[in-house]
Amino acid sequence: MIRLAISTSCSDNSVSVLLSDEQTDSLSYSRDASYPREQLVLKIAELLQKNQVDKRHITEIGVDEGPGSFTGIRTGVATANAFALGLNIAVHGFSSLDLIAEQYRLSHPLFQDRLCVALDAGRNQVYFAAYYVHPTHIEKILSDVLLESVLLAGKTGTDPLAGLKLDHLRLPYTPFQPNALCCLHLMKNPYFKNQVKKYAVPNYIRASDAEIFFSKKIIDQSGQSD
Amino acid sequence: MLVLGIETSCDETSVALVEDGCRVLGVRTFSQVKSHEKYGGVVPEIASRIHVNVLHYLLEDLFQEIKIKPDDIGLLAVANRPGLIGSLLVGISFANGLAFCWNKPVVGIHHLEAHIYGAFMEEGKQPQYPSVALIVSGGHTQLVQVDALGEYTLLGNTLDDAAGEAFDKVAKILGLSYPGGPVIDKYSQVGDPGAWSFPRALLEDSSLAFSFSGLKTAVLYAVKGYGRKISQTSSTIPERMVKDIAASFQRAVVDVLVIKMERALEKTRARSMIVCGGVAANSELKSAMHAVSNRKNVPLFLPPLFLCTDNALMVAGLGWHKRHQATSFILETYSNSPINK
Repeated sequence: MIRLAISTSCSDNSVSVLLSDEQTDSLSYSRDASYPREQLVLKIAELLQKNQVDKRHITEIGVDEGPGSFTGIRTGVATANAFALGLNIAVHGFSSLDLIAEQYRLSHPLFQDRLCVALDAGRNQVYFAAYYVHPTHIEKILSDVLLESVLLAGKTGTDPLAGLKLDHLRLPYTPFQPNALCCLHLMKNPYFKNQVKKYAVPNYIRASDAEIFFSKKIIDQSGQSD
Repeated sequence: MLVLGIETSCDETSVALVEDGCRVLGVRTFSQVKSHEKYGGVVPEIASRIHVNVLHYLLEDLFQEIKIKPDDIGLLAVANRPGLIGSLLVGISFANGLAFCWNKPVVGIHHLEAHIYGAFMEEGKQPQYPSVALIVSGGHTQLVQVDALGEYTLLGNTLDDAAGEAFDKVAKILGLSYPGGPVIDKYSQVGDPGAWSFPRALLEDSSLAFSFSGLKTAVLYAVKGYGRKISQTSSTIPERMVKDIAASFQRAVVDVLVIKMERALEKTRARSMIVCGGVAANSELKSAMHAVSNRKNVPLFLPPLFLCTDNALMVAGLGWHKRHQATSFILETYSNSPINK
């Protein structure tokens, strides 16, 4: 069973392939002028060629559905859906927050407790989800939400980037980003079996600016008419 | 050779199968007009979101009807320039993925060149060259000299708004629905085109450039002037006035397009003329261009309605002619791309 995974929701894009039960290989690249978004399939081809994998032997594809960069999410999802249709294989779609939680579990093998993941959404907002971390897998206990305002209280100050200063609140800042290797791990997670679907769907969480602006306009107008 | 075309450059999601450049096997197009209606124009982020949600379903549906296998397809053609960058990227990502999975070559198509091709695609034969093409849509208004398929010289471009964009904005000013083209066309048929004197820009010299922003502003002032005359707070324009303004505005646009087309025909000594893009569906423009064709004794190529708006048929059709430029992946996407480069 050969599984392919892609993650493109942040500036560091990655593709990973599961070659056997334990053997994986990955390829990461930062999206910039020399590696624009159109390069994703080229990178997949490079990874498969390096490992001498025939694409017809891929049985499943996993994809980071977001939240994160809107355009990045769409690039990954459109590519995953092309593979699903082109190779007639199933898609596993995961939240980018799930991938970060899984990355935390893998890097902290002794940790077994509740874990909150907050991902910078810009505009003083965060994407947020909560998990219970078991020794073998993560279990989602609060689905992805966009928090409009986050207040970090405590005697250590207000700068969340001060990192370890917030240890007593169990709110360490980490440089973790969603990646394709964690996507491969989650594809094996029995708890996430229901994530298997025919096609992936972007998980933006945040509405487009036009929708937000239009909703506010409607609310303002109804307020004025009152 | 069977070509799968993919078009996502603006607010139409479309896939099509065309054989040897002109034999249509099938097409699926999803128009996003309803989703953009309340904003009065295309919202790029919303357009991209819809493309990624529907593209695979359209192709699946097309395959079910046509009953072909991926092995039957010889080439993929995808619009990769110019257009909304986020929307183009959805089509490119999908096309690259399919091309890779199926071991098929893929070719990037210039959206405007596809519009020109769409004007004579059904004929199965190309016009006599040199030809002058007027590309007139919501995003573009240009005159192009066509010396052969793939050989273009830009003769004139809009300096500000595209003609189709002006139709949308004027419709909004008049309180009409989006998109503005069809509704203004409908109102114009019962309005007086001589009732209002609106400006025709850039006609003084021999320029082939266009400008429609002044015309749009003139309509805005006409409506505002009426508002001031009857009441500061009134926002309702009488039906008669809406019809007359719509007809006068449309006549101004068509006059400019006709005069510039005639100038371009004379300048290039063209042996044929092409009118394409969404505004080519306008009934008054079609009649006026037929009259030019008769007057100048130059054959006119005008696409049928389903080839005027954005569609993957023209992309697939042109793709067959560009098959020698096909590669394994499309690695470039451009929001702006002159047709002559």
